[in-house]
Amino acid sequence: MHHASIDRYASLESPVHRLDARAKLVAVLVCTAAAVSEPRHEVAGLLPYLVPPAALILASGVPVSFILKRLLVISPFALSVAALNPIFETWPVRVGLGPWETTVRAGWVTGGSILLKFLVSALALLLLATTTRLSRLAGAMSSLGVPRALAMQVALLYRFVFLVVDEFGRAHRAASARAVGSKGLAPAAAAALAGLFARALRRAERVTQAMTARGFDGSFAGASAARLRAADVLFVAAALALSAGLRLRGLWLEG
Amino acid sequence: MHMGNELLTLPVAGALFAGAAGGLGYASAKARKGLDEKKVPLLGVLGAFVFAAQMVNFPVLPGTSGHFVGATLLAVVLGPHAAALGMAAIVIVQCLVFQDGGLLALGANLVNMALVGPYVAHAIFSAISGGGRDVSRARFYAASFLAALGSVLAGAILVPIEVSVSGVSAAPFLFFLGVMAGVHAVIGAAEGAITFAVLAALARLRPDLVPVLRDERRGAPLGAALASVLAAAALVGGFLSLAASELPDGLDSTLERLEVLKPAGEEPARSAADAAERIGEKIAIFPDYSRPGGGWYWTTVSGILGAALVLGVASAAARALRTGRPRADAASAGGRPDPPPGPA
Repeated sequence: MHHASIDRYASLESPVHRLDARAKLVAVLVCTAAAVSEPRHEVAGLLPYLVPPAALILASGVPVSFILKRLLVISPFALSVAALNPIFETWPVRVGLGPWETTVRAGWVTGGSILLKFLVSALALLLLATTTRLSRLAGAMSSLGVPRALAMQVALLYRFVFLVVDEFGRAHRAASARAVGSKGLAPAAAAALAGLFARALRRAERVTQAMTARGFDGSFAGASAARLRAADVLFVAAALALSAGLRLRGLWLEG
Repeated sequence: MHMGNELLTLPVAGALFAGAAGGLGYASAKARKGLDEKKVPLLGVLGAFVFAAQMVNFPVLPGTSGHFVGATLLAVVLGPHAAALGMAAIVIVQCLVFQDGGLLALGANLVNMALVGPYVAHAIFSAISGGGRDVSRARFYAASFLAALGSVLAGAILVPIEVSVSGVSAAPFLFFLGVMAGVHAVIGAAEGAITFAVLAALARLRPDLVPVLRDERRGAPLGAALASVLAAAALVGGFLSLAASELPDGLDSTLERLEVLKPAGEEPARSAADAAERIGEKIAIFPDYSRPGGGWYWTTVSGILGAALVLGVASAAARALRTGRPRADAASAGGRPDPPPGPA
């Protein structure tokens, strides 16, 4: 398996891709926090939050169809929880859109608010994931205070997952070549899983020896912090100002 | 059981982030003592193994699927501290690469899956197996099955607690708890069976890593396996009937809505609703699906029967749907042949 099938768009070239991983991580966290802190009945006030991540995704050159497909794949949990609100909050509320006004169940409003919060935070996270390499993100996490051992785990996990997935694929092919068309028996599958685990373990031990032989002492060379450019600082400042502005506008309108 | 941003409030998400940071700081300090610094790559590769195994989904109910969680496997082989670090790396990569759970909800997901899972699994496993090196097969089965089931359930039960403390979702606490725990009792039972099978096979392949089994017979002890399936089914039924008891009945909620919608002056509609309710009470044999005087007993029985029915239908549907269904992720494990090797 080529590793590009997991984060194939992270190595594109665009101004958004060039932004520092730390700057993007902070900006996405701030934007998500601002949207999530909106009150649970807010609907219209959440719409402006969608604009910045959507605009940046368009600017990054990541295909919109890929973003929409990912949104669909990760939406079931948010959709099903949002759908519970109309069942449990049955009292009517008045909603207005310009000159039109109607009465709906309160649950539709709060459920819609849950869905919009999901959309905002999912778009922001997709922006981060599709424009930043995971190795850079692990380095960013380490320089933002995540324990070094954990940041290293993230980097190593990412390094080895392709090899292990390949091994799963080979075992699967070998099994299907030996048992044409038969559904896998559970005990055989478990034995295969244990075999794969033992094989991964042997590989891990070889890797450990190889890394020790090359002078690995547990320190994380990949985390050397690049200097923030002016564009990165500007980007974080804009994200902070925009999120704070949107949130304060909501507070001000509430009175 | 990945939690989303949209169901948490900022204070709850922040508190869980702080909890996750504290817990993982503790785990990494402990793991560094127990695990030689140079053995860090070992944990990385085993984390990658669990990550890859998690990509294989099995259907639970229509619309929901479970996957192998692996916390118990890591906790038994590596100890709870290193397992917590490994699971944390998995949860973080799932969040950043696959957008499973939100960035703000990462603290909650780390607590539920990376901290509670390995520590609960390790506590249960070592309590039952006794930490000995020569364990009978039935005891080994009980230890791995209950450790996996307990760790999955403990993490799943935290989700409704965190959601109802936040108060964003309108679903009543007991309803959410019943659904989450009911679904995860199924996942936990499957997890328990897989964990036992993998650990038993691993005990043969690498006896240096897993407590050695006393007898060499293969397969799960039949009586214990049957008992665990029955216990898991009772758990599922109990939890789902708890959820069903919180669900507003269709007619009830319609009447409630009529009552609220009508202005206070209009008495007829109200009394009509009252009359309907009175008639309903007289003709219903099992009002609210429980026999009068029967109490929780009937609710539980109907819950278990309903759950068995739903599971049967769901597994039949899943089997029917499985043929030709496209994979959800491009990176799903196996199945796809590698590209032909190019000139190296």
